[in-house]
Amino acid sequence: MARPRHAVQALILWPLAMALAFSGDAMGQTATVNGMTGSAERGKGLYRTFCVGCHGVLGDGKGENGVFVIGPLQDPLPRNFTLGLFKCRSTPTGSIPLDSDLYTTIGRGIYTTYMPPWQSLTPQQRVDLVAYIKTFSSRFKEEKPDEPVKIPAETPNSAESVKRGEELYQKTLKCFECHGTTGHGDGPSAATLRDNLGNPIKAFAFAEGTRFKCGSTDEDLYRIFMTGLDGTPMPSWADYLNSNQAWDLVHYLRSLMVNYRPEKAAGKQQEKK
Amino acid sequence: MWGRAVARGRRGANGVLTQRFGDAANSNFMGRRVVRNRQKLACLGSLIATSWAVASCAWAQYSVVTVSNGGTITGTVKWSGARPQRVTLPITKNPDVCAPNGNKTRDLERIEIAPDGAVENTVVYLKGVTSGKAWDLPEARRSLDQKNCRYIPHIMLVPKGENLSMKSSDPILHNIHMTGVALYNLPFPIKDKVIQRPFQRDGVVDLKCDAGHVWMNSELLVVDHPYYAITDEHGNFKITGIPAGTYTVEAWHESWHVARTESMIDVDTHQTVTRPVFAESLTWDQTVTVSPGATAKVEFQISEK
Repeated sequence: MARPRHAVQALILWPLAMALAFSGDAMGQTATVNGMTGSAERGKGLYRTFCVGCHGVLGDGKGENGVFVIGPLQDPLPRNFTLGLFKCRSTPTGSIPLDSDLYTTIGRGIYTTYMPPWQSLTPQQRVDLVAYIKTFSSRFKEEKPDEPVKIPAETPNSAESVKRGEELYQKTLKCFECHGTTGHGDGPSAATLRDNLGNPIKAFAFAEGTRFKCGSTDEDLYRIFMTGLDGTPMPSWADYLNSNQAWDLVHYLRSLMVNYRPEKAAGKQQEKK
Repeated sequence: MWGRAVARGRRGANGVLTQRFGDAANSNFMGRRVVRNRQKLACLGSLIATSWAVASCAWAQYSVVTVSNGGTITGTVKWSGARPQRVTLPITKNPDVCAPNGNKTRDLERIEIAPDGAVENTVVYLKGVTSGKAWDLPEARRSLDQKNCRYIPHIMLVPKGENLSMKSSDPILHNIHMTGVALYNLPFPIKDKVIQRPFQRDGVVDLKCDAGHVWMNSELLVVDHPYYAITDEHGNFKITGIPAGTYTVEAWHESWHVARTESMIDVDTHQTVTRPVFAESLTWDQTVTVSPGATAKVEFQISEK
């Protein structure tokens, strides 16, 4: 009879279909950056070629090259994507990153670490990789990223701005506790710093460094201390700084960075996209 | 990888070829479907409704209902057996603020047992509750202070989706660095400034301070129903407004066992500073039947597991 047979078939197929739909097939994960759409399916092949050596087949940072990464300079280990925890974001502390954050990190690399700038991959390939990387953590299915931090136009640099920034760094916000009073990363708390995985980690030494791990421009610097670097002791200062104060702090930090040459900064050159 | 939408048709009694559902794994499985049979459409419609209802049950939100003549569970949590090792650390930073009474060490409060064996700071709750009384968790458990380099309270309870208020009463730098189901990292350089954040995932959050105060630790539970209680210094707890029924009551306690330590030698002070990292929290279960308007008693005996 027509009716019972269709009903029986539907009774089997529909729950199965709903179960599968709600389980969220990982290979359906996508990413969107600059009008391009990436697919996890394509990203998987790229990952298995270019990324698996450090980041591992399971995306847990335990690739076979990972054992060589820790060195005397305390290089950070390859990121464990399964935690859904990322340092370089434009979103507030506690939030997952935007697709564009992951895309930018792949293209820019992470200065002073074993993560190179993947300019050898096309933008489309990088977006595909973002889609695949998102499949390693359920956070990307279950959570939406928070609103990214707004970065208004930079205020003019001046001696007064630097002075106000100094007051923030040395007195109000107490940045010296980790970063040191002269910005050498040797503050009173510096020796005890550990990342979320329990590995020793250094506070950025403004007096020595040129670029940051999460960028090199003034906007990047602003973004870094406003979002905080999740997974590290560096917190988000967004609750303490309005945008004028934040730019004052940027100006003071630049004054500590004796090795920084603005004309060589990526912001002044053509930023590689 | 993807199934094809196979047009497996069946010629019906009226001579019309009707296409069956495609391969279920195909995201396009709704595809092209020729519906000529109204009964099939009705069947389909009711199945959509049922599936949606079933699926939404999987992520059931807690629903507040009128609980008339609710029951109560009271009890105590007591320690049995040899007393466990307590973890204490020397105060290696800001002793003027962190050790106002001159104490050289700080107990990490991982296991608080009174002389009579009463265990404080044990979280006791009903498992698997999806509806019941209105939210009545204490506000004090949603408010965190950092005072003399100590988190007060040591255990927080935050309803899922609600805010935790945080501040520091100390004039030195602290930060609240969370791991677990929330990953906020928030600084507290200014005394008395309050910061709030919401907690969207239920589960456990561990809190620590990176500003040299390696002994600071506390636990936060994000909960999806209000049937939670925390034992006081006498080991007593009480859960009220329970609809009659049989429940699994669970006691949760943070671990006092050190899984590993993070040690650094402070080059300036020549001190070795060690932060212990604790093992997974522990739970104990009991079954209890609650009758309308009645009080059921539950006693937990916890010990070294």
